[in-house]
Amino acid sequence: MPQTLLERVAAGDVAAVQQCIDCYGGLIWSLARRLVPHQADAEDAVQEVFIAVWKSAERFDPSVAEETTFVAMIARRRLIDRQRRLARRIDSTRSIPIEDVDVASETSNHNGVDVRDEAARAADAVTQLRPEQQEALRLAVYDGWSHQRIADHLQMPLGTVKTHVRRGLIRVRELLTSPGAAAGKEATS
Amino acid sequence: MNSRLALPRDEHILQLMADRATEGLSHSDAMELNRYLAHDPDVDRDALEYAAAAVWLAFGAGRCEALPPRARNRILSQAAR
Repeated sequence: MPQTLLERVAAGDVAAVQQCIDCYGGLIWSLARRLVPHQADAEDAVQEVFIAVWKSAERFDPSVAEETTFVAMIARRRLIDRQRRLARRIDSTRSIPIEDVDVASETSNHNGVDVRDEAARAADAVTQLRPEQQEALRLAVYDGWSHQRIADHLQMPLGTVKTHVRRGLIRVRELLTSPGAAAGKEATS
Repeated sequence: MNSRLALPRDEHILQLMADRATEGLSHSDAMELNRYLAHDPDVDRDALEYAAAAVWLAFGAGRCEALPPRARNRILSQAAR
């Protein structure tokens, strides 16, 4: 019997679709608002993302990733593709300082899907990165800046920025999949 | 992130995966990456996109805004079709 929300969506449970919107609507909306400058475009984008999430639900494997991470991954992929399709480069001017990585105390429970554990684990991994990797990933992933814009902003060669991003992501993966990494996730397979 | 599968050893392919996870790929780069991934089933193809999603959660999960009611209603209507 399916247990996670996405497994229920994949099984055709109509109630789970609405629960999915209630659980992940805020997360997906916030992702879209960071990457899509205009509110009306962001609303269109969120609709596209939800369709993509439902279509991808049957591919969700709880042994590979937590459900929230899976949803965020599908959402980011769709939003990045959409922005490239529209030939608009992300140009957010909003930015937050690295010390604000501590999110666990602020993160709300999304109607039963508790993202706090996942966010806290991810924050723990990010804080173990080298400062230059943290900075590059914050700008590239959270602020949605292009690598070239990051290079200009940090006055670094483009190749150096790309290396920080690449090595930072690889390190985050290592940290999140190592056997002792995830308190609360018994077997990260 | 599937630790049963490996990351590619080729730095260029890893960079394409990192680029895809952060700013997306051009059509030609996407084709190149897809060609590579199609020939190596033991590669964790989504690894760095999962990692980027986790990074976003680290920075952004505490700042989630509520989905506007109008957008929620549109999505519900779409789902009902």
